[in-house]
Amino acid sequence: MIDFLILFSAVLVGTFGFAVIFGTKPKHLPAATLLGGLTYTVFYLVDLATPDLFLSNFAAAFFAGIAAFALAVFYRAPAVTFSALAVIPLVPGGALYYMMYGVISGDTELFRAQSVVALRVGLGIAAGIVFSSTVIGLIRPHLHRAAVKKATGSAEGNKK
Amino acid sequence: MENERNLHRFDGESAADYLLRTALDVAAMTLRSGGEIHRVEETIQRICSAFGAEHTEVFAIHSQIIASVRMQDGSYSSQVRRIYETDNRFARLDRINQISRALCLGKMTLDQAQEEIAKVKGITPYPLWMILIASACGAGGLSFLFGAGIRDALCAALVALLVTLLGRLIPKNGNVFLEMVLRSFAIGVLSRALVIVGAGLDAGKIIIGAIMLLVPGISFGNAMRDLLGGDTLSGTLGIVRSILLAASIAFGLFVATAVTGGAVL
Repeated sequence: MIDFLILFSAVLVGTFGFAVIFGTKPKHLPAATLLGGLTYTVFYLVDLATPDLFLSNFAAAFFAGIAAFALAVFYRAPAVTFSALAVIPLVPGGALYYMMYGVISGDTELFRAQSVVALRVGLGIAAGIVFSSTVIGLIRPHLHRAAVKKATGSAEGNKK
Repeated sequence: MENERNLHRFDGESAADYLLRTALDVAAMTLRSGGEIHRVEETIQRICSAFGAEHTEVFAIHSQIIASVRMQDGSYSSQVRRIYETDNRFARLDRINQISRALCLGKMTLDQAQEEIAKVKGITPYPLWMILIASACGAGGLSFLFGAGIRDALCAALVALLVTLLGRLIPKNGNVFLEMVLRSFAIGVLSRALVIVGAGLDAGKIIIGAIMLLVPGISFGNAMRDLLGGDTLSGTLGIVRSILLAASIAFGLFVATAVTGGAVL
């Protein structure tokens, strides 16, 4: 538990740093930072249950995509300003680097092993975000209809 | 029509040309600020439709946007915009998204949009000192995920801060790959130096934390997303670019290893 809390705090600090580097609006900073921490929590929990790199990254990225959409609606801002930051703790930066280091130093085994890690993590994140976009695409019309109905209902209520 | 009294329209520029130029200005700024390819394409489609276009065609990749529009009176315009640099600048992306939305809802004229687009370039929400601290936070925080202890994390934060400052001081020569080689070389040498003087314990852990600022992890993720989302060309180009950037970083570190005479991994 203590290990997780240390990692969670480190992710919050890291995501906050990247949020500032990426020029996130000051108003969006707390939500973007917290979303990074929560996305990592989902990754951590799924990884505990099924230690599969693809699955844990897929689940975390799917959560990040849905939560980023909710924040985008709330703040009326592009969802990518939240989702790109949320997946920062998941990106296979280390694997991508070791992979190319293997190429340059001639270490074929390092290259092979890290390519698989980078591809599995990258595909997991991408699939999670794409799948969340598909789900959002399916529920968006219903949300829109509900919002219109609510607005119409309250307008009629005001008339009465 | 409101857009008939154009203050920003060039002499001889048709209404179709002016509409498409403005839509491309909005789309280009969206792409430069970190917007997705589908957002860029939708932006042009929606703005042109909102201003009476009968038919719009758009094709965008990370380095170029090609668009054409046909108005109801039969006038036609086709334009190309080359994009030389893209980066994540989310406050700008947010503002340009508001401008796009206002145009589509009829709350802004093309003239007003031109004035607002010019202002977007000046949006820099944080001063240099805050960017430096943020670089330290980003590298130091994420180095824990790669197994660094508190000492190595603090060293990674210091290295990231120094390299970010160095990046601001060195004039940009336009070659991002060379810039990556130089920055990663600096990271390698500084990390090794911190271990030699006894501040850090493991140069490899310090390096991995500090290079998180350079590794194209987000572009790699975005490229994979484009690929899975159907934008095959854009995704393939993004992956090739990410691999080349990672290779540049690895090359810089490899040279640093040779210079310092020790393994940095």
